[in-house]
Amino acid sequence: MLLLVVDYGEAAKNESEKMKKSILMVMALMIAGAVQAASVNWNTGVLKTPGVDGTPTATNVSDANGPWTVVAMFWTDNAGAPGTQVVLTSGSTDTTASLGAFSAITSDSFTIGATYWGQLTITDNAGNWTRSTSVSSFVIAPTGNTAFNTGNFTWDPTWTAVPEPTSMALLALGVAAVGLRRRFRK
Amino acid sequence: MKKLLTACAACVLAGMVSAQVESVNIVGYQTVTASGQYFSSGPTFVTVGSATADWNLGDIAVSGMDPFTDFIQFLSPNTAGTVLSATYIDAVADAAYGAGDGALIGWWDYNDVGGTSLDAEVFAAGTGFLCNLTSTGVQFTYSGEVLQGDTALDLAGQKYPMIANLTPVDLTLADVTATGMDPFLDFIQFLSPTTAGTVVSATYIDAVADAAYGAGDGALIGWWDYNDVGGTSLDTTAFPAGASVLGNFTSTGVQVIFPNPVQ
Repeated sequence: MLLLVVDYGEAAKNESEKMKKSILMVMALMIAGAVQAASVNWNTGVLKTPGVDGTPTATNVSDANGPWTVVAMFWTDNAGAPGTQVVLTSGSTDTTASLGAFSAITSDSFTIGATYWGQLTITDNAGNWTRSTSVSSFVIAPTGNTAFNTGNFTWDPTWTAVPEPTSMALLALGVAAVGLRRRFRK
Repeated sequence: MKKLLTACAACVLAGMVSAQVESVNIVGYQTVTASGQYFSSGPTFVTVGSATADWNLGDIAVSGMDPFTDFIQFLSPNTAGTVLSATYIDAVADAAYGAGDGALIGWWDYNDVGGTSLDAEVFAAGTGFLCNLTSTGVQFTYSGEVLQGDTALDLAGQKYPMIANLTPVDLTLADVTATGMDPFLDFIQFLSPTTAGTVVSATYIDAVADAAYGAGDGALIGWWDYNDVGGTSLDTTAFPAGASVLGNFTSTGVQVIFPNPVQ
């Protein structure tokens, strides 16, 4: 008899306990989703220095023949094309080469499972040469960091001479002149 | 005299049998305590007599796990997403949620606790899992047979394998080798037990990569920080028994080789 009374009490308690557990479980899952913010490990792979015509030589890019700066840029996906730029608070640049490669880990700004676009650009700090990758998409992994590296993109085949400021100014003047000519032609 | 000879022969035979048993297999168990909510782990033994070096989920006994708030996750080697969530009912939970007769003790699908048993789930040696534990002090007891000799895990085609230190011995990364890893494409990740975020990314330079990126004299062979390849060595990084790491491989022919735990 006593056992029966206890059983009723236990059953009710169990129901309440199970409800509490279910709520806890849902909360735990929500928290799990929230804390697993993803970072991106980006890596350039080995880069070779530019020859006189911009063609890569056999010499690795290094701190000795630099310095160099690599900048990583990322965008959200907009219907299969790059959308809004992701503003990173850290991990967007690297200025030190090891074995001719640059790499960094971004800050946590990426949504798990979402598609993003990225591009890496290296410039020598003297402002003579620059080289960029294609803009390529990647998906953020549900667990751990996501790799955005030489497996995701292709590099421009040659280095490009960075336009000098005077050249840029002349180019701007030229564009302005064309615009004014079109306007006053009417 | 006859009795003495018989006893002597029996002793010799017993010695031979004993020696044979020792050389065939070594069995044992090991208890590992979860160090946080997102503890990464995996068995240090395979099922006794397993011809294909597998382990069953039912080989693992757990204490302290709440079947309604705690679970372990097996990740997809293609996407790193969870493909199976399992929870454990121990004797305490069996008494709390069942009849207390032990019938519920074992592994269950987290989405159907008490309904779908997972005790018979089979995994290849070296397969790890990611915990999601609200309870603290959860202990996993791994038992079975020690895999002897060097063990090469063939991870061909797996982008995100969860790789466990399958030996019952605390290792450093220097004890583990790899083949087929491109140091600028492939890495393993040690996950934080408190956030599940990556705390260390390590890549391996093998003899092929040493020749491609270095002088080919073997000086670069070993584990490196993925963000400073050739600059920061991670050979001394601890890889404890029963711990696991998450691979991130672009190359399709990666093998990770664990040393013989029986020296």
